[in-house]
Order: sequence, then structure tokens, then C-alpha cells
Amino acid sequence: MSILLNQSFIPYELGEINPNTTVLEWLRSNRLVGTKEGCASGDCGACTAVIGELVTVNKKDVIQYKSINTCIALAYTLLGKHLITVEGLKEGDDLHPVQKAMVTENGSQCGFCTPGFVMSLFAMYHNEKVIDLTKINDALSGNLCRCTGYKPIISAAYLALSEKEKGSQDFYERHQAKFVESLVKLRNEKDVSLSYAKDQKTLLFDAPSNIHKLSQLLSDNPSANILAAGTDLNLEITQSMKEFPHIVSVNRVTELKQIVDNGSEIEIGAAVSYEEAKSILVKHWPNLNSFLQRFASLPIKNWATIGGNIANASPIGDMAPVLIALESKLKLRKGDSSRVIALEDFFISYKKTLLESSEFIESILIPKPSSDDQLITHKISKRYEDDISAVCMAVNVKSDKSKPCSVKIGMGGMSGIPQRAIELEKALLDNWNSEELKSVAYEALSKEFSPFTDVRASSEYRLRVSAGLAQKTSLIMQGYSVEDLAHYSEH
Amino acid sequence: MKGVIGLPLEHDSAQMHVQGSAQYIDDISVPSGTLHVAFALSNVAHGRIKSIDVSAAKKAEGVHSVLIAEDIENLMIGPIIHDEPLLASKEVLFYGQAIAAVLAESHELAKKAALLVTADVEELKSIVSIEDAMESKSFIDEPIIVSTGDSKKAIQNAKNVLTGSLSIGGQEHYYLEGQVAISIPTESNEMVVHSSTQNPTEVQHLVAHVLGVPQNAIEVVTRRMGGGFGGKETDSSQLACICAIFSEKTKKPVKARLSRKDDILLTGKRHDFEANYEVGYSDDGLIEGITMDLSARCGYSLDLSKAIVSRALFHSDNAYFIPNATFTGYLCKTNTASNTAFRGFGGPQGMLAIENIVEEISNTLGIDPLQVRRTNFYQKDTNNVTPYDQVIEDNIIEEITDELIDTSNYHSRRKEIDKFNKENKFLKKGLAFSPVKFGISFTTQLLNQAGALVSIYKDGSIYLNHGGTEMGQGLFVKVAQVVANEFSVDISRVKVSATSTAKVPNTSPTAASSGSDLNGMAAREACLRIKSNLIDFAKEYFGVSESSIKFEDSKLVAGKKQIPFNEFIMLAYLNRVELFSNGFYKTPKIHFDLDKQKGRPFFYYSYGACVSEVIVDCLTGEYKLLGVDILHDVGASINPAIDTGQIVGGYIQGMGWLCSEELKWSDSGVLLTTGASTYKIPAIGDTPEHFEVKIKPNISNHENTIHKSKAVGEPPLMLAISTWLSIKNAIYNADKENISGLNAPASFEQVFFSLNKTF
Repeated sequence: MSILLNQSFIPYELGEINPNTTVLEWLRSNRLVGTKEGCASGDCGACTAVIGELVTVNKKDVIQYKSINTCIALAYTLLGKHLITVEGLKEGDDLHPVQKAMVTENGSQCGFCTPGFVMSLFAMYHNEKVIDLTKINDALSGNLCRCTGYKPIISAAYLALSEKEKGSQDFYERHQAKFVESLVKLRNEKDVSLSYAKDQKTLLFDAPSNIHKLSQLLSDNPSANILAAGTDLNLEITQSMKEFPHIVSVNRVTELKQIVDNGSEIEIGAAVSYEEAKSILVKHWPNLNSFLQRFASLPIKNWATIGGNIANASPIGDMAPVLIALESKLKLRKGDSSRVIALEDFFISYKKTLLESSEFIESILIPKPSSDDQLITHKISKRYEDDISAVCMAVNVKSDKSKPCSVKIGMGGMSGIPQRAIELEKALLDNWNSEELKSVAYEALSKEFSPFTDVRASSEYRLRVSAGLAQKTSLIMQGYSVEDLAHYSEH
Repeated sequence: MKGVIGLPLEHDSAQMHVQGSAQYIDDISVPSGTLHVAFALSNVAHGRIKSIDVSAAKKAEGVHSVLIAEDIENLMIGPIIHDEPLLASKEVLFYGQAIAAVLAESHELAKKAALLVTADVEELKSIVSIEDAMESKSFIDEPIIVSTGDSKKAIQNAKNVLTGSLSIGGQEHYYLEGQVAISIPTESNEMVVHSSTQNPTEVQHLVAHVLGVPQNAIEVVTRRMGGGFGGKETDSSQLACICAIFSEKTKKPVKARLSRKDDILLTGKRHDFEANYEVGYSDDGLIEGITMDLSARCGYSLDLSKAIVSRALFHSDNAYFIPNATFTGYLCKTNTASNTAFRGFGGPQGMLAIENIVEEISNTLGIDPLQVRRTNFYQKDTNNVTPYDQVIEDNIIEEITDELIDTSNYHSRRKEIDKFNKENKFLKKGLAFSPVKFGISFTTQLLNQAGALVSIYKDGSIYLNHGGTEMGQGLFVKVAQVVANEFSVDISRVKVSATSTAKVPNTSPTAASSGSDLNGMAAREACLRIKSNLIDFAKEYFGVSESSIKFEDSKLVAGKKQIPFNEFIMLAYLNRVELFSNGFYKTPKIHFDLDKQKGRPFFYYSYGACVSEVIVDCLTGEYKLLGVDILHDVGASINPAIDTGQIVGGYIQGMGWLCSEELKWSDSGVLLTTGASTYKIPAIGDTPEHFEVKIKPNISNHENTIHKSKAVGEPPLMLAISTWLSIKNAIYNADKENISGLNAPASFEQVFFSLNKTF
């Protein structure tokens, strides 16, 4: 039960730990205290570390580095991966180029968020060849700094990459082969089944390697908690001080990690992360590129899964409205039997879904678009980066001879569930080139939704801004270029 | 060697920051057997406590003991008056107030057990908003009035009158490192306390008070904080005191760190304010008279609210001469956490209020706001007396304005924006300029004192200690530069050290932007005293005159003799020369009559100005900051890298306050925004792409400050007022009749409703 840790090629045995232990807790209790706790909920990035995972590129094993929030990742979910923390960057007395750049550009003041920034920069340093402001903002979207105003950190990102261009290789690049070799050995550990004795209780952790074992486990243990990334579930551990007696992790299940092109549809395994799904999604729906930028911070997108996002049934999980608009279906599985249902029917009421006991999401089926289909997405939040929607609107327009013939709309933040906006669909289809659209849309929305007032927005703003978004949509449908200020730049 | 004053040296801990090896209190290896504290919090805003049941918590796994108010002999603490119970006693006064403290074997077990504490509380009517408090006359202290001339008459006689109101939101500090403390009993009744605090002395004195021991029994140590911003000026004491009480009872080390949510619930924030104003002005926009009421939400206790409201009134003129003014500050007592210091300390709220007024006058008259601002600026020889009677002797606001208007291309951008706005229906741009004049000194006169201790060891290495604390602002490196400069040695020879109440006593909090001014001077004084010993010795030893002795380039020069600094120090030691000294400084010239609210509260003023440009989407209320140009006065900068960092960071923090950071309470006083997922401080994409920041060059402080530098911590925060004004300008540009109604923060929702008053 091992991981690789920092600059050592020899696997590190995690030993017997409570399965509810987060990576951050584990690091800090092992005196690796460079990684900090800022919020314990994946919102600030002070705890950012990098994991290396084996991926196959051109039939060759290579290591891919991802920034993650260690405060909401469980230690056992790192089995077989390479964990790199801020302590693992320096070589002898020499700082890593990203560390040097942060010093040179005065990128730290109080220093508490700095290790997190350094690790996000480290991941960017490994993943990018050429960078621009958009890439820097994406790479650092999950790191909050309260002192510097970010300007020097942006400069540090440019400086570090310019050092890389000069051809220097860091420790991990130079020793990639050895790390690959060590990770290949760890990959051979298949099904993980651990127990931890605590007082009179035994806490269990299972991470099966295939879908049959997974469905068997869940049938045998209907009360077990299914864990994908845990970017939401693990908040119950860190915020509500809960302890899960039996965790079944899906992140080693091969079938659930696959993306398959079925010809007419794309099938995305439920445990595929957002970053993993990004390239195929963007290939078919280029507009999703900018949408996914705002979807969540990079460490969350690196870790969180589409299946987890849907099963969690958050009324504001931004992917569900998009997938509803795209008329996606879910493949659910229980034991040996599976069923396929429309995503829009999956959500029943707040946090309630069609999932039965022992049933789980196997994959998401998304019909491929035809050439003149248009996907238009909008997100309203209090901040452009790393924020939960007040309102999310996804509009899938199908056209016939450049006239819209069908409109499907998915909305988030407007009720207790991600929901199709049928009235608005009608209003938009009938009035897409009318001056009256905004007021018609408002009426349609008011008929269908009674949104709540909360810290993110008032009910009235949700309704009225949605009408405004409908108008923006209609302008796009009419062929006007419409700015999304979140991505607006004059440079 | 070139002197180190004025060099852009890196932060003294920068190398450690990037390696994660800079130690914060939560990183300290605690002795085995250390116990951990968690609080049980009130779930109502106001109520009578009938009983508290801690039995389940006591039985929970790993729990050592549980404290409630009745168990604590000296329960009350507070910075000015002791009106804050460590744990709620008889009554709960705000949602999230601590009602019990649980001690357990680990942080997690303490937190779990704390959730098991239940309280039977009879809920009482709570006063949450400023409006509620004003209506029910719920005040924590008497109103404060700063006035000059006859404002009533001036308004009556004025050609134009503007009346209006502005509501200004508060701000959560969101220091990345939450509140944390460790107490370690040593021997007898003595204790060492590590506290993440801007105010080690106050923590020391309050811990001594609650334990009933003399202050000399307690040593408080603070190496660094992961951010403070005012939130660790008074709010660190409760945690340290509770740890100390448990340590005293158990004779064991005790540690407490607040989870983010508990931190946000328990500690105070920047005060929200309501401004109500009536202003008389001429057709040119010249302000002739003003009456303005500023009502502040202070929370359940006094804390520093009096000085904060005072500073708001002292900055309600900002850079403008107002001959007839009556500024009245109301201290509203509410059932919310006790609001406290936050970078700017009331100044930003007063300044926003007057800048909003000037903008509204300009828009009403249809004159460019820049012109109206210039019309009202303080002058150098006349029109240079503030409403509190301080004569402004160092006014450079016109120079700063001229230079920034020129370098930012304000006028051509104004034309481009007008053109853009004509051509675009749903997108509108706004542009705004605003000045900053910020008074430097604690307005509580006695706090303007500082001490330092400088020691040189036999090998020539220097150990520097002073009363200031390091929270990221770069104080330590600046003071180290002062010391290195005095001895003409390399900065690497100077070791900065943790602030300790055992080394320099009775220090003031590191606050009011005063850190370098006060501690730099005190450290310099200590160096001068040691130098005087060394010079006396060199004179005699080398037989040369005083004028031929110099510290130069890491050497001592005595006539023709040159000797490396470290060798000279060893020589001095061998000859029994005292190689350490304290130093002391108190700010001269300041005085203030509290009854009359007149005098000279400030030693000098810092100036700055900012131009912001924004684009607004009228269909959604979203906006994006397109450009920011800043010119800021730091006198003769000791360290331009550090000072620039303060300006950039201060600006962005101010922008957060006025744009995306919105605190929300339910009607019954439940704070709803208790984490980063609901309370949105600026993220990296909020930093504008065009962001020109310049320190005003070739300038020095008019007053005799440390190397003629100026304070820099707080003033730049208020540069962000121009950003809020640029949003207001965009709304006005969308509809020239739309002049009032935008409040702060300008959330997208608020901007949307400002733009779309009707549907």
C-alpha cells in the first residue's frame, strides 16, 4: 500500500491509517508541514500538492503531473501515485526554477499561500511549453493570495517558463525513467481492500480494479459510501467532522476511467476527471473550452469526476445543465444489470436522484452534435474564477437552413435540481429574433421557476439575469458577436 | 559598498516561503502530551443562557475537560475596556460566540466533541443591521463629532444641494493563516505563549490578567503571521487566553487553531457603515458645506470601534478642503461579532463616502469628475486646514494628480470611452480617478512609541529585535536594512528575530501603517548607541579623532587604519565594550484634544492616486476591470520592492472590499458567508491585465522619519475607490439620469439592479 513521495524512487509505505485521513492531515502529521491548511474545503489552494500519474502516450508510459487540493483528497486514494510536495522541489541547495522565480519577482509576502502557488507553478512548469495569461490564470485559478494582488506571481510564472525554454531540466524530468519504473511496479497492485481497527470499530476502504468487483462490493455493502474524487463528499469529513465507516473508491475501476467514441455518441466513464474529459468535450463543443475554465479551479478539475458531479446532484453543479441541454443519458448499474435513463429525469428533488441502493453511475452518454448545432453556455457567479454559479444556462440550438428548429436548455441554480427549462425553450424558439425576447423570457422563466434567495443571489436577480442571458443567447443566434466579460481582453 | 537603504531587497523570509520551510505556529513541533482546544459556538445571535450541557462532550473520545464561563475566574478581556467574555456568560450576544471550550487529545477530537455541547438558550430579539441599531438607539458609546465652520448655514446659502445615502459593506480579513496559539507552561507560574498576533504585548497582558499573574510571568513570541491586516490586532487574545487557562489547569502545553469557519464566525471584520449626507455646492462643484452622519456596525463590544469611527471622520474630507463640515460618527451596538481593525481602520469608509459625493456632484452638474476633484483639492498655503484643525504642510496631491493624469492618458481614454459607449448598446465603459490622502500615526497618541534591541555577537553577527511583528508586509527586512546601513555591513549579517515580549516590553501593536516608522527609528537609535560605544573605544584604542572614524564597506576605518567589521567587534569585546543596546522612539509633534476633536493627530500624510477603467455588461451586471494606473507616494522608499508589493496588494485587497467581497447575514443575525466558497476574495483573474504601478520618484518625507520614508501599509488600499467609481461611471454612462444608488460592494447583482432600475 505505497506511494512515491518526492525525490525518492523507493515506494513509501503508507501504513495503517484511518481511511478518512486526508492527504493534508497525513503530510502534516508526518512533519511535512510545508503544505498548509487554509480552508480545508478545496477553496483556497494553500494545501496544493502535485501528483504524478502514469498515462500511456503513443504506447509509452509517461508521467502526467496534476495539481490537487490535498485537504479534500483522501490519503488512500493516492495509492500507486507519485506525491510531490513543496519539500520535494529543491535539489541540494538549489531552488527549483519556479521557486527561484517566486523569490526574484517578490511573489511572496506573508508566505502562507506560497507553497500552494509554488506547487501549482510546478505543475504548470511540467505541463506547458508556451504560456499566456489565460494559461497562467487557469494554472493558478485554485490559489488564493491575500497579500500580493497576484501581479508578482504572474510575473514569476512567465519567468519560470522562460527559464524552462532555456532547456534546463529539473530533477523529475531528468529522472523520469526511474520514476516511471517505480510507478509501473506500483501499478501491479490491483484491488485494494484495507481495514483499520479503531476502538471497537473497523473502518473499511475498498478500491476495486474492475466494474464487476465494484458492483459486487456495493451489492454486498449497500450502506458503503461511494467515493469518486470526494471534492464534495470529503467536506463532510473536514467540515462536519464525520467519519465514514466504509468507503468504496471508484478511482481504480478501469471501465469507469474510459472514454469511448461509439460513433453517434461519446461515452464517458463516471470516474473520468474533468481535465481528462476536456479534450474530447472541447473537440465536439469548442465553446466548452471557455466554459470549463470557469467551471472550477484547476486542482478541482484535475481531481473531480463527471460521474461524481452528477451523482452528487448539486443544483448548481455546472456540468449537469450542459449535459441536459445536450440530451445526455446515464448508464446506471446495479449488480449485473444496467439501465439507461435520460439525465434530465435523473434528478428528483434537492440532492435526491433515481439512484437505487447499491446502484451507481457507470457512464455518461452524450449524443454527438451535427455540424450546424450550436451550444451556448452562460455562467453567472460572484467571481469569475473558482466560483459556484448563481445561475448556469446551457442552450443547445439545432438549426435547419440557418433557422433554429429545436432548442434545449438546461439550467442550474434556478431550483433544487439542475433542470430543463421547457417554457424558456418555447419562448426562445418563437422569439429568438424578436425585440421582446427579454420580457417574454422573463415570463417563461417565472412560470417555470421560483428560484431561492441565498448568499449567491436573490431570487429576483436569478430570474432577471436569466432573462438577460436568454437575450444574449438570442443575439448569438442572430449572428451578433456577444462578449462574455469573463474572457474579455483588449490585449 | 553601496548603502542598503533604497535597495529592492527580497523579503527576509522569501527563500523559506518558497520552500515551505518558514515556520508558522501550526508548524511548530509541539511537545508530546500537548492538548488541543475547540470552541462550541452559539447558534443564535442573542439569547439568555438557561443552561449549557457539556456532559456528552466530556464523555467523548479523547476529551480531557470542558470549560464554560462559570469555570473562569477572570472572564472578561478586551483591548480598551474589558467588555468581552472569553466564553459567553448568562447571555449570548452574537451568532457564533464561544459558549464552551473543549480540551482533547487532538484537534479533530476536540472539534468533534465541541459539536456535542448543547445549550438551552431563550432567544431574544436581536439587533443585526445598522438600521435596526439606529432605530432602537443601540449604541456602544457616545457619538463622535468632528466639525468646522457652520455647515448648516453654508448648505442653506449654497446654490445647489445634494442629499443622499450610501451603504458600505464590511470585509472579512481572510488572512490565509487562521488564528492560532500555543501555550507552554515552563516553571512556577510562568508560561511561553506562541500567538499569531500583531500585538504580542496585549496578548501577554491579557494572559497575565486572566491567569492572575504578573505580566513578567508571561512571554509571548510571534515569529511571523500568515497575514494579519488588522484581524490579529485584538482578535488573537481570546484564543491565547483560553490556551493559557487550560495550560494553567493541566500543566500541559495547549494548542488551539481555528477552522476557517470558526475563525470567520468568532472574529470581527471591517465595519460596515451607512453614510447619510447633505452637501451644499456651487455651480463649479465647489463644496461649501457638508453634514454627514456615518453610522458604523460595531458589533457586541467596543473593541477598537471608537478609534475606527474617529479615523473614518478624519478621512471624510479626503483630499478636499471643506470650510464648513459636520461629520458625526455613530457607534452602533449590534448582535454580531465585534468588528475590529482592518487595513485603513475606518479611513476607507470615510473616504469612499466623500468620493461618492464628489462623483454625484460632478454627474449632477455634467462636469468631468476630475475637474470637480481639482476644484476642491486642499491648497498649499491657503485652504489647507482640515476639519479637525490640522494644518496640511506636505500637500503634493496636485503634483501626483498631474503626473498620473498625464501618464495614464486619462483625457484621451475618456474620449475613447465616450466613443465606445455610443457604439455599444449592451456594453458600457467607465473611467474614474480618485486621490488618497491618508493620515499617518496612531490617533491614540500613547501608541506612537516603540523599542528595539540590537546585539552584536563576538563574530560580528548582528541580532535584531524590535516590537514590530512580521505579517508579510516586509517590516523585518526594512528594519534590518536600517541596521545594516548604520554599521555599513551586508544585510546578511543582520538576523531578524521573532518578536518577543521578553526582549522589548510594552510595545504597541503593529498597526496603523506605523511599523517601519516607529521600529525603524527605535532600531536606528539602538545602533547609534552601540556605535557611540564603538567610536569611543576606537578613538582611544587607535588614538585618532572622532571625525576620522567611519563604518564603511563592512570595515571600520580609523584614520589610515582599516579593520574588517567582525575583527573590530572582537577587538571591542576583548576590550570590554558594550555591544548591545536598546533604542526608543516616540513620534514628535502630535497632539489631540479628544473633547474638542481638534489638534494634530497625524505626524504627516501619505498621498496617492489611481485611474481605473471598467467595462460593464448591462444585460447581466457583470463587469471586468480593464486597466489600473497608480502613482503612490512613499516618501524616500527604504525598499521599493517591498513598498511596491504593499501598493499592489493593498489595491487588490481594496478592490475586493468594494467589488466581490460581500458579507451576508440572515435577518436573525446568522452570518451566512463563512468560507471561501461563499465569500469571494479576489482571485488571480481579477488582477487587471493593464496594471501600472509607480512609486512617486525623487521625493522624501517632509517630516524627519526613518530615512525620510513614508508609511505604506494602509494608504494604497484606498486607491481601489477609483475602481468602484469607474463602475459608478459606467452606470452613469449607460444612462445620464442614473446618478445615485450604487452601494458597496458593487456585486454583479447590485450593478445589475443599478443599471436596470425598471424592467
